[in-house]
Parts: sequence; C-alpha cells; structure tokens
Amino acid sequence: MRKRISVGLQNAAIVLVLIVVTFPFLWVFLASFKPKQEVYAYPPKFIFRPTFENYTQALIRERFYTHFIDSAVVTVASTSVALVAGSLVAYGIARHRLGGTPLRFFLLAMRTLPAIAIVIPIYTMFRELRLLDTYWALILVYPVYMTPLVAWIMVGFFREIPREMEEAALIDGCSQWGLFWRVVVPVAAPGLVAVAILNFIGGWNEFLFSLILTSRNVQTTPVAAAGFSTNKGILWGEMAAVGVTASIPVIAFALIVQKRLVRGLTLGAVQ
Amino acid sequence: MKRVPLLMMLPALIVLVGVGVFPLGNSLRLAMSRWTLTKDPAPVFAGAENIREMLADPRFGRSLRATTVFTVGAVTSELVVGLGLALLLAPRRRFTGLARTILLIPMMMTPVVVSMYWRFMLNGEFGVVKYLLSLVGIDAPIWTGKVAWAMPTIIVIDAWQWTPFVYLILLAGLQSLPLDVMEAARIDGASTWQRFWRITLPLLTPFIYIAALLRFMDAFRSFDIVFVLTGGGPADSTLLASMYVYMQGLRFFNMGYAAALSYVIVLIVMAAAYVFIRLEREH
Repeated sequence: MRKRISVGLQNAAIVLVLIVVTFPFLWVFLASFKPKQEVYAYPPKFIFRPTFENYTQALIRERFYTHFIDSAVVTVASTSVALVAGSLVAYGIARHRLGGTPLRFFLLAMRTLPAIAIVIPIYTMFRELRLLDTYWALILVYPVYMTPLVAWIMVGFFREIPREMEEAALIDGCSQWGLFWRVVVPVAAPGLVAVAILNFIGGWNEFLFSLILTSRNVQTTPVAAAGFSTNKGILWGEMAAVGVTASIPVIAFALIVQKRLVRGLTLGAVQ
Repeated sequence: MKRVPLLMMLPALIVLVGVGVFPLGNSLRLAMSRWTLTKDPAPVFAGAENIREMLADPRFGRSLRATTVFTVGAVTSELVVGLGLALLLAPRRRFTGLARTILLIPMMMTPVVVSMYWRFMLNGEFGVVKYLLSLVGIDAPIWTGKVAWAMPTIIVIDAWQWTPFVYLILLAGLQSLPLDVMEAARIDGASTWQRFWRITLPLLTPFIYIAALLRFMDAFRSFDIVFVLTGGGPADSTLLASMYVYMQGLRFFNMGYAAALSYVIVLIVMAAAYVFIRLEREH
C-alpha cells in the first residue's frame, strides 16, 4: 500500500515536471495563432479563432525570414570549417599521438574561454580588417568554440576504427589523405553527424558575438528576436510567431537524433 | 609521410590561434591601455590605470556580487532539482520515455528566445503567470522591475533551461552505478534513505562535480537572459559581469577598460575551475 502511494506520488511529480517544462512553449505556440487584440487580453484567452496573421506579418511582410537565412549561412559554414579542422586534428591525436596532453588541454581551454573575454579585441581587430557586419565575422569566430568540441568527441570515434582496416587501405595503394577522406571519415560518419548537430545548435543559438560583430547587413535570428520591438513596444503576437519558428529546427534536430545526441553530449562531458 | 600529421593540425591551429589566442593576447595590451573609440584614434598605453579605475568603480563591485549570487543560486538549484529528476526518471516506468525526450528540449532552445518566452509570460498587464497566480489568490509582483524579485526571476529562467542538462549528466551517472552494491545494501536491510545518503550520493559525486563545473563556467558568463529581461537593472541588481563588460565596451566604447574587466572574468573562471578540479581529485 505504502509502495503504491509512493509510486503514485512519483508519477504525479513527473507529470508536474512535464507541465512546467512544456508550458512556456505551448503558451507561446498558442499566442502565435491569436488575433492581435486577443494576445493582450486579460484574463488570457484559451479559446479563440486561430489565424496565421502573425506568421505572415512577421516572417514575410517584415521579412524576418532573411534572419533565418543569415543564421543558416553562418551556422552551416562555420560548422563545416569546424568539422574539417576538428576531425583532422582528432585523427592526428588518435592515430599519430599528435600534441599529447598539452594539445588536448589547449583545446579544452579554448572551448571554455568565455566569449566576453575575446569579443572586445575581436571587435577592434575586425574593425581594422573591415570584417564587421559580414558573414565572415561569425564564420571565423564560431569555429574557435566548435573545433575543440569536434576534436574531443571525434578522438573517441577514430580510436574505435580497427587499425587493420586502415592498414589494408594503405597496402592497396591509398595515400594518407585518401585514407582519411575515403576510409576514416565514412566509417566515423555517425560521430561526425552527432557532433555536427551539436555545433549546429550551438551556432544557431549564439547571441553575444552576433550581437557585437554584426548589425545591419547580417543579423542572425537571436539578435533580430532580441531587437524585435518597435516604438509602440514589442508586438507580442509576431514575436511569438518568430519564437516558434526559430525553435522548430532545433527541436526537430533534438528529437530526431535523440540517442546519438545524448551519447555525444555525455561523451563530451564525462571524458 | 612524416609531415602529414603536422599538416593535419594546421587548419585547427590557424583557427584557434588566429581568432582565439591572438585576440586574447591583444586583449592584455588593450587592458593596459586607454582607448575610448569615440575619442582616441589609437590605444594609449596607460599601465595599471584600468586596474585602479576598477578598484574605485562601485558598479564593478556590484556586478561581481550579482554574478556570484546568480551563479551560486542557479547552479545550486539546478543541481538539487536535476538530482531529483534523475532519481525520479532513472527507473523505467510509465512516462519515463516521454519525459526523457521532452526534457531535452529546453536546453536545445535559443536562450534569447527562451528569455522572450518568459518576458511574455511574466508581463505585468496580460502575463499568464499573473493570471495563474491570481487563481490561487496571489498578487503577482513586478518580476523584473523590483530589486527583490529581478534576481530570483532570472535564476528561475536559467534553471528552467539548464536543469535538464544537469539531470542528463546525473542520469548517465546513476545508470553507471554498480547494481550489485545497491542490491547488497537492500538485502542487508538498508532503508531507502540510508541507501541514498550512504551509497548513491557518494558514488555519484564525480558526476555532480562535472555537472557543477560545466554549469558554473556557463552561468558565470551568462548574458542573454539579462540582456533580454532586465538590461542589468533595476539599480544594477542583475548587472552580471558579461553585461557590464558589454556596457563599457559597446555602449560607452571604453575598449581598454572593457578588456581589463573581461580579463578579470577569465582569471576568476580559471581560478574557480582550478579549485574545483583540485577538490575533485582529493575526493
């Protein structure tokens, strides 16, 4: 009997947690379909006639979609740079014992460097180089944080590849580079996908660098969302539509690759 | 053949040194200079002037205090709730699969967007939180407008987003615990509480350390939530260190002073991380 009550309480606690976790998202989702006046209604309305007005107004008429394009360009490009640079160095560490402990420590230190610590000198440097407010500014900076993550996680994956496989390729006349691109990378593809997704999410969500290094020509989604207010205040209906749209790719990624992601995260965290 | 490994390092080194180490070194030079972008054409060497200014700057002291309160408050609540969640969801039963999936969502979301969600829900005129509290007869305060409430509010938002991360690490820890030890304790008649305090918690300590360290390093440089919700106010009560560096650098354009401030943050994070790792080793 006591046991049954305790299980009941635990289930109730789980349900409560799920409500607390999902409520903000559900509430904003609901608000994004409300007609303009009803967003500001008090007491809040739970039942209303849904409309796509907020979406068409914010995303199309006010051209918010351009910020999604900026975010996608920057994120895909910087993730690609990090994947190439990070997996090369990871393979060097895994197979050629490159750099030893100092290199691994250096990678970890760069990963944990607070963004605020380098953003001021980078701002002055890019100002000289006329890179401010270009895609390049962010494509060059994000890999500083993405490359170490790729390297740390991929070392583990590369070590799991059987040496015999690589030796067979070399005997068949494969060059070192051919070996890496044609044998090692395809075999370690699941790991690369997982770490690419982690970096993609990181880049998509990044705010501080983007806020400081870009302004008019380039403006990523988080910066545009934070600045989404007019002289009449924040237009909450449109804001909700933008917030929902911005979250969809990230949530979809998280759900699709849940298992791999957990493995990648815990590997990176516990190693 | 011999050169191949070195070539492999090259792209990563170019990125990390060019956009990481070089600016960090440059920042040291900036930190010892006076350079107000709107006035001085180039940095002027000023020695320890920025350090002296820092010691006399009351806002710097307030920002350090706010950062400490925020970091300790957020990390502690995330550890406590995260541990509870991990214990709750470790055994497989009804809801656990669904719950584990849903719990991944908050930490994947854009922090700025999460902050906007909360700003919407906490609105003083039409916010849903105000409405829900009124249902149980509580009059909601002005969350981010009052000194007493602003800090707890941003701590709760940070905890909402990052408790799942702590939970994930601790769940991995729980699942790696040796089952036979737990079973033996149960057979020897140890109560649930005894098993928790004497076995589970000590065995889980390394994972708690890792979770605390990772969360500490992130919380200490937290920026997005205060930028969206409070802007550092009211009365500097939520002026986190990152926010203050941003103000000095990008609003007042005091590049030298901002660089000096940011160096202090790096040193504090490094020192704290070092102490943390030493503590863990000793354990």
